[in-house]
Amino acid sequence: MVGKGRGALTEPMFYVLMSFLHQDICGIEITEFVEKKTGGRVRLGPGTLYTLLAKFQDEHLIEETQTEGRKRTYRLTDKGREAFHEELMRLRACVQDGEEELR
Amino acid sequence: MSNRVIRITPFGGLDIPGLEGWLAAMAAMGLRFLGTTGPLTHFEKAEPETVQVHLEPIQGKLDEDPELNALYQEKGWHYCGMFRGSFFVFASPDPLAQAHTDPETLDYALKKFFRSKLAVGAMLAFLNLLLLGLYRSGALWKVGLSQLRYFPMEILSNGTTIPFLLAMLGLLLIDLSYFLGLWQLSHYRRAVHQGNQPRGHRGVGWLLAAGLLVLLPVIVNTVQLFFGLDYRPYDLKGSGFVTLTDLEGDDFRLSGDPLSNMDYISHGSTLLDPESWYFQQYGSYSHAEGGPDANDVPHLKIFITRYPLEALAEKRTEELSRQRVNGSGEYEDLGTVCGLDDIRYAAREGWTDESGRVFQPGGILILRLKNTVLFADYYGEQNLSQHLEHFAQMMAGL
Repeated sequence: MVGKGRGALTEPMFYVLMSFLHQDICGIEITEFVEKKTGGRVRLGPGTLYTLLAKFQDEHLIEETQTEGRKRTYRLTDKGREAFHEELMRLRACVQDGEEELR
Repeated sequence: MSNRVIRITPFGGLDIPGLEGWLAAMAAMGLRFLGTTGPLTHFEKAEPETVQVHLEPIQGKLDEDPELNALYQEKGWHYCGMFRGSFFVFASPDPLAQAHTDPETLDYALKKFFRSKLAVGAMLAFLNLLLLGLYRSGALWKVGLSQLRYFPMEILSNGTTIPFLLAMLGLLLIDLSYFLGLWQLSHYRRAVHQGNQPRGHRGVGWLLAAGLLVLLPVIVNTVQLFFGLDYRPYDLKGSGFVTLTDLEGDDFRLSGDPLSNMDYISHGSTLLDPESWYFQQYGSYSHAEGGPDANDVPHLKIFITRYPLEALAEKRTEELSRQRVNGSGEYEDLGTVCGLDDIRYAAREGWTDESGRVFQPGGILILRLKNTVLFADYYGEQNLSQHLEHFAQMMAGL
C-alpha cells in the first residue's frame, strides 16, 4: 500500500494516480480515464474509487481543488507525483527482470 | 393507509453480508429501504424488485455525499439511504454490478472502518460505566444479598437497585450485540481478504433491540432525575397529614427548626422509583449542650410508599412488621377497620439507658390501603392506634 516504506500499488491505485498527471480531475472523469486507458481491462467500482480518493487525500497524495454540486475536483500533490514515479520505476524493474529471464 | 413499514433489524449493525442479504430480500418482498432508527429499519412499500444491495462503510462525515452518489449512479446503482450512521446503502438491479473491484482497497476501507468502530466501542464502554456509576448505590454488592433475601421489597423500592439491574442487563445485551458485530466485521474482512464469500448471522440485531427495550426505562428514569422531575413537595397545610399537634394537642410546642419541623410534605417518584411521601415533626428542644435534644422530645415520622401492585404492598407490610425499631414490641394485628386493608401496631415502652438517659415511649403503626403502605414511627406519650380514622382519611386522600 502507498505510504512510508510503501509496497506495490494495485492496478486501480496506479491508474487512479496516473489520471491526475496532466490535469485536475473529478471522480467520474477518473473512471472514464481508467477504462479508456486500459481498454476496459481495469474496472473501477464506485466503492473502490471512493475509498481510493479518501485514502489518497489522507496520505496527501492528492488534494481537493474545487467542489461544484455533485462534482469534486482533485489534483496530484508533489508527494503523489513522487509515489507514482516510484511505482513506475518498480514496474519498469519488474518488466526488465522478466524480459531478461525470457532472453 | 401508511406507505411505511418498520421492522426490527435481525442482523447486527456491522454484519455487512447479513444486512445486504436481508435488505435485498426485503426489496424482493416489495419493501424498499429508507433508513433506520436505533434497532428499527424503515421501509417504503414498493413494487417487488430483484436487486443487489451494497453497504458502503462511511468514511468521515455522516452527511450524504453527492460525489459518492454520482459515482454509484454512473455505474447503475441508486442511493437508498443511510444505515445507522455506519453505511451508505446502494442498490442495483444488475446482479453482476460490483461496487468494489479491488480487494486490497476494500480491505483498506474495512480496516479503517473497523478501527473507527472499535473506538466507538471504547466510548460505549465508557458510557456504560457512567450510567452504572449513577446507580452504583443500588448495586447488589452494596445493598447486600441477605438484605435482598429478607427484605426484597425494601431493596427493590430504594430507587437505585432496579435501575442498576436493568442498566446492567440492558448494557450487557447492547455491548454483546456491538462487540459481536465487531467480531463479524473482522471475520468479514478476513473472508474478503481470502477471497471467500462470508455469510451473515441472523439474531444479533435482536440483542440490540432487547437491550434498548430494557434500558429505555432507565434512560427515562435518569432524565427525570436529571431535570428534577422526581421531587414534587407540597404544603403541609391542607395536605390532611396527621401532625404532632393532632396527637399532642393544640398547646404542644413544636420545634422552630425547619429541618426538624417540616411545614411541607416531601413527595416524589420516578418511573422506577415508586411514589413516596415523607413527613416529620419534632417538639421544641434545646440546641444547647447538655439540654434535651431531639430524641428527648415527642416526635413523629411518617413514611408512605405506593407500590405498583397490591401484592407488593402486602409483601412490604409483612416485611415492615418484622422490624423492631428502638425497642418497639411485637406487632398486634388490629384487623381492617376504617376501610384500611391492614393495620399493625407495636407499642414501645419508654426506657432508660446505663447512663440514666430516658428515652421516649411511643409506638409504630403500619397501615395498608390497597397498594399504599404507611409506616409511622412515633415517640411520645400518645397512642397512634387511637388515631386510625385520621390516618385512614389521610391515606385515602393521597
